[in-house]
Amino acid sequence: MDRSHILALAPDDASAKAGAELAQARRWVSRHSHPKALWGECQGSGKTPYLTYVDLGNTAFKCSCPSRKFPCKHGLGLLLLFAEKKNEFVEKSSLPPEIEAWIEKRAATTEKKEQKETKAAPKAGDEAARLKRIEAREKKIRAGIEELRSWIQDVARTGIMNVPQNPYHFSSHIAARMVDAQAAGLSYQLRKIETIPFYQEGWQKSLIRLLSKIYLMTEAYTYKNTLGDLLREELDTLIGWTKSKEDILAQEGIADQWQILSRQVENEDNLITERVWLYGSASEKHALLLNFYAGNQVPEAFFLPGRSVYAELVFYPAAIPQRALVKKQGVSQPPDLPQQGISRTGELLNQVADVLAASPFCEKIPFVLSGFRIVMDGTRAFFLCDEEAIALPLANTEESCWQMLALSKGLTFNCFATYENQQLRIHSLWKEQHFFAGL
Amino acid sequence: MKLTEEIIKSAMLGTDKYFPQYLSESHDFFAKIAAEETEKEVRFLRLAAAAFIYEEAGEAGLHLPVALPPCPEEKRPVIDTATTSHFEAALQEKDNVLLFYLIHRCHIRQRVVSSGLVTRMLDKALEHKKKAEALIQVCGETGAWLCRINPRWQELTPVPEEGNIWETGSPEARKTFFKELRKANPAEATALLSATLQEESAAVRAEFIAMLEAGLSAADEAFLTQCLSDKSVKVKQIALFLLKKLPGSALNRLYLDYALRVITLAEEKQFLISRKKTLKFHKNLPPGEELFTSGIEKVSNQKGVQDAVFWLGQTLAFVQPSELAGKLGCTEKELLDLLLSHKEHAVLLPYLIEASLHFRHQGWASQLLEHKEVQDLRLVQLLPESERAPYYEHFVSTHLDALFAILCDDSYTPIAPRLAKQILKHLQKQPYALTHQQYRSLTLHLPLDLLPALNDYVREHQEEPNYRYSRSQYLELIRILEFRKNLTN
Repeated sequence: MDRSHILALAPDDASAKAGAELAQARRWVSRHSHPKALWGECQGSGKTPYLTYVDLGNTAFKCSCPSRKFPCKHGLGLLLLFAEKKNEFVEKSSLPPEIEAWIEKRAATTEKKEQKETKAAPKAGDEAARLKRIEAREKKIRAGIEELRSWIQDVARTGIMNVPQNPYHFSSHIAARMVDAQAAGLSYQLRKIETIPFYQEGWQKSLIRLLSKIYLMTEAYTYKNTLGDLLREELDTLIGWTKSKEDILAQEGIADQWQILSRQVENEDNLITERVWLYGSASEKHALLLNFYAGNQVPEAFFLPGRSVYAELVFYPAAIPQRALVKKQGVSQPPDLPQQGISRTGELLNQVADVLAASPFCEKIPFVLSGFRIVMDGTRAFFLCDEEAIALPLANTEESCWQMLALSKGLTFNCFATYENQQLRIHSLWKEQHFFAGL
Repeated sequence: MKLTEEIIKSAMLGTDKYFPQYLSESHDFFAKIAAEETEKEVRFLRLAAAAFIYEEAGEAGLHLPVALPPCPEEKRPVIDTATTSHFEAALQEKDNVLLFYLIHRCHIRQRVVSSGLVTRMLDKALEHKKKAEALIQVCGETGAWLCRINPRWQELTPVPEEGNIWETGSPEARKTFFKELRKANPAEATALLSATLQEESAAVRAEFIAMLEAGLSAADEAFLTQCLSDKSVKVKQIALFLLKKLPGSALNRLYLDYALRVITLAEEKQFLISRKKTLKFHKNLPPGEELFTSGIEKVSNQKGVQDAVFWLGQTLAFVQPSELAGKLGCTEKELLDLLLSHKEHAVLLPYLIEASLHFRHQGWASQLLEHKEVQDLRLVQLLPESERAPYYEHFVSTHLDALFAILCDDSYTPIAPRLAKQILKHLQKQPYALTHQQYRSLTLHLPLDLLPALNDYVREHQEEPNYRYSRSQYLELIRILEFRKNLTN
């Protein structure tokens, strides 16, 4: 792990800065390393030094300091110091009992959780109540969907010309009604209207496209019994039905060496959403780990882009399975980045057509691409272009596009990108084993 | 018209006013939806959903046979991963002090930054125009290539202006051009300025005339004299100042003549055998009107100072020491000694300092610095660099801010160990004498072998009143010194 990887773990810029300042040997009363863990004592403002542990296997932290941030500056500082000056650490052949106990406890907790999640089965008595609850919810959702369909039809009748004058109020009420109707997925889709850039030309297409797509979802839900099992399950999830982790983890997973190609973290209304895209070296499958953390919840383990991890993943049932859960996880390892991917825009678009045929609701389609380069058209818009000069527009910001140009120097490169709304968004790129994420 | 365009048109106006047309020209599928016996809003929304998916699924990409100009191969080696991390940290933390130091090191070692840093460095160059050149250089060929293709960064590497820079160039380009010309061919520069002077604004005239100070010679006298009749007071003042300090000019000669009229060098017998030289001032000789019009003030503005001594002082500021000493028949050193031992020396001292500065007289500068009443950092700057450190020590406790500005320059020359220790000693007593940023900048100029002394301080002086603040500053100094020590390239 290098400095940028470690600093990417910081919960905020202040922690990253403070962590970097603690990455000096003198700040630590003691520094020890073992292949499995690091531990050290950091002299803070109090009399007793803080005791900090870092689990190197799954990149986890523990510290006796009172900070609510996770990882705290001490954990970051210790790991940074180790990354930059291994020789400042006293190598130990065995772990101290308390650290060994911590690592074992973490392993045991994970295992227990996995077992619990895998084995949990509803009690017979609960089943009737559960079915009743499902029936009641279904009723609510159907009523909500009817309301939404009427609303969209009204919009279609009166036209969207005046929407840019007050885009937030345009959909906020109906989005809230969908929450009331326990169709949180539809509410999420409606809230996307607020993200449409109404100040830019082209908003008309984005808006009507989104509204018609939501309408299609409601149509599909109305006739869901005519759909295939997998598409029906995908649709249920999109509408807002949730699946228990236990049910998912009870299925057999795919064990592979998963390359961590992207990690995006969004913080909205005190809810942190983490999206990690993985790519299986042997299975050549893409997987999306979607995690939500509310308030002071902290991730159990970190997925660092540019690293790889041996893990068993279980996919949520869908026509195009993408979202997955980790069933078993090994230690973080150096990457083995795919050097071959789709190299023609035509091939990419054929796959997009196949995906849309299987699931018209699929929003992001992941691809590993190779031999593409960035070009600009006469209006200085950025495109990703194959060797036959067939290009697709890039959804990345202008800043990110220039950054990618600097990294690639106008030459071809390999990258991980998602196809979304007729555009490509590059998440990471690499040349041989030089990996660049956070684009 | 494409079907999706029809749908957008209908969506904008509302289906009450317009329903998509030309459906027969599209796939049968759409015609079927349009013919359904449902409300037209339902038909429209079904059509829209199908049309957008149909369009997306049939997307063929854009044929874009364009290519960016190739990025040339990097000629200089790229910095290593560890140094890249330091750059990353400095950029992320907006630590410009450290960033510019790292850039300086890259220049010295003839390295370029890794390509992942280039765009942020170019953005930094837009923020810091004065440092732009250094920032762009360290971005190497990739940076120059990006500047050529991104209009936002193009201003960082201005294309050499075509045609006559002097007539059509930007103000900065004209200044650079004139400075270079003055350096290469002073007479040609004066002639050029003389020919076009009246076409310029007063501020520009003043700026360019002031640039004649570099390489000032007798050949400039005629032009400067001509400038005395300029409409602008500022222009006149600058021309007058240059004429006064131009050795051999008519005005400078007037100053010299007046000084020679007033000062007499006499020799007196001392202890029967030896003879002692003394200076005598003739106080009943007022300067001519010409001198008064050139800026000599008529009435002393200092309490208890005679007008005659005041006139002499003002005159001496523009008399070349060597010339005056030669005419009086003594050495420059002797002359200054005599002036400093004169009973009026306190009045003359500021003017003697000015004379040293105007004529860049190293001898007088070092002689004056030995004088207990003289505290002027500008004089130290006249000395060769190797001789300056001992004099700087006198200014640590009184002029630390000014000294800091001189010592902590962009060349990152290490401060002499003795002086550095003295500065640190002073900071122990006055830790708030520098700001946090100044502490950081100071560290980049401290010799690395001060580390043990700093470590000792952090361990030992715990009972000092400002220990807590000093300790945190010192720990920062230590961190940066260690960082410098461990820098690989």
